[in-house]
Amino acid sequence: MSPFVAGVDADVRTTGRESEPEVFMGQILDNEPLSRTDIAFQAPTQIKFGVGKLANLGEELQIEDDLGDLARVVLITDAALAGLGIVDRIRSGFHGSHYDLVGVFDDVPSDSDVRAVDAAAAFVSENNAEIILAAGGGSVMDTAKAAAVVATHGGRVSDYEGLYIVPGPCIPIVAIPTTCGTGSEVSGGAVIKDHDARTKVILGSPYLFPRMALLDPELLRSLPAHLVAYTGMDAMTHAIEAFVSTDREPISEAIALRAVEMLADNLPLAVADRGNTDALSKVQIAASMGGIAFTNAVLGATHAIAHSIGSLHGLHHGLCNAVALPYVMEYNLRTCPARFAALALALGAERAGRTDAEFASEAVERVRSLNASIGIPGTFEGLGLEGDDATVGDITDAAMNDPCLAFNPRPSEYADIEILVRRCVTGAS
Amino acid sequence: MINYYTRDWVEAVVSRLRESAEFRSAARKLNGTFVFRVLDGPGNHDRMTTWTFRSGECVDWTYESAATPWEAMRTAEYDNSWIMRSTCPYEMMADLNRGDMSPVRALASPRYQVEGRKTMLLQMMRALNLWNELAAQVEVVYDHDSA
Ligand SMILES: [Fe+2]
Repeated sequence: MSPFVAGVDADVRTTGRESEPEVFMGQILDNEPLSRTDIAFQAPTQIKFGVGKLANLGEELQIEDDLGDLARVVLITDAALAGLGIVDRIRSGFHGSHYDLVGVFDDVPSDSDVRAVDAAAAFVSENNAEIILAAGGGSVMDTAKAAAVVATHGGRVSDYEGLYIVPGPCIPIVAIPTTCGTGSEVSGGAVIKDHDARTKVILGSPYLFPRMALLDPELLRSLPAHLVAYTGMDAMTHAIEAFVSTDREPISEAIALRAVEMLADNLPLAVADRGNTDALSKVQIAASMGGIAFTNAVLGATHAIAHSIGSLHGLHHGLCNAVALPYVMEYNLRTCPARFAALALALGAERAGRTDAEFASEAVERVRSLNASIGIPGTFEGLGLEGDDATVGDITDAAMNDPCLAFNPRPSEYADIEILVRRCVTGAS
Repeated sequence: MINYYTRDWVEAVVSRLRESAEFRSAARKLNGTFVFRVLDGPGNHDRMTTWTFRSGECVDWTYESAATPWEAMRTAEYDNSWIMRSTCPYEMMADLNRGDMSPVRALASPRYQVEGRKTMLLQMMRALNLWNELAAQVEVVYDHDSA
């Protein structure tokens, strides 16, 4: 017996082979082999969290060696946030500091657009911005990232489409999220819609990571309950999909699993009461954790389907994820039951002596209950879609070409995804 | 016309890679060995090709084939010095080369397997896309009996 085990009253299991030492075995995940033998993890964005942190914005920037000597700041945001007073709050956050808010671009549409990127980039250049503040949701932060690329390196946003195309560092971005889901504040990606061409420009580069993410739950107080629910479930989907993806690795895994637990424990509280500072804070932090997890471990079929339904039917990204998530989890269950059993624990289910295979489906049930508790419908029919062949076929066609699908743990052919999409739409098995 | 996935085809692709200034410039960071296993192909043969790059220049390549199922090749362990090894049926490779199947659809399929340094592959994506484009420009016959 190992000296570490002798005399210790613990659950000790052996591998069953005489020559191998007895080992402690964890109770959260089984000791499966690494699904990747080659890992590169990156999370370069500095995260600063604090209730009321925005009021100390100047100090938080000034203390950083690389930001302290810069002065000219441009704010990128949207009209709704400007109407809610974000500009004044940022101005007062700079009060007493040397930072100069030289311009405010508040013309980002709710659904990012290449023209908004061009206009924002021109605005950044005209104002000789040294720091870009991006205060808003995913559309604002992605627009700011793309504008920083164009303002720094010239050309059009489409010149930088793809992975690892941006040639070098850009004007630093301080991301100030006002929703609790996209994870864009900690990611190296940006998705910009080209509404004229009805396409998306997707950029991915290490130079797109914001320099800093400033998380202040005060900024979530005015977010309507349904948007807390939608964006929070987007974050939940990031964490769950990263936890089971083909590109999962232990670093993201740890971050993702804790994010799932924090969201499960706090999202219903935050949806019910934006006065609940602790719940809002944890949802906001968990959303950034989900962002870090999926930036490294990527996503899966839920996002492939949500992207497709979102663009074909104009539904909110987080809402689409929330509806599709339990169906996709069910579809993936048997591929990695131990992972879903761990998720079930994080989501609050009682194992009660059940094996991973028996317990795994509890994760799906917990997500269904969570959805119901925050007003998310059980199917896309509940959102007005029809389960006819043409609707299902169009969604399936788009999902089959979404890069996220390549990272789903269960390999899939067209017919598999078609059945899965039909289930998401109608609920029928 | 050249028969697809034969020695002649590999030679034709390699010469295009070597002649393309655009590829050499975009592929400056392309280094290391890429291995492709193509199963159940024409002539009832499996195939394996290797392509080795140094700063974007294709400095070495191999083409081998043997009767299906070529067990030694199919069961060979992955070598960690490679950048990647992909394995798929000939029909899928042909669909990809014809543009009838998107790379995402192949990657999501249980019939397509990729091993290796995925993050590095993503970093090389621009060069890999150009490599695919140049390969697809070679005029080929898919339905043949050569191996
Ligand atoms: Fe998402």
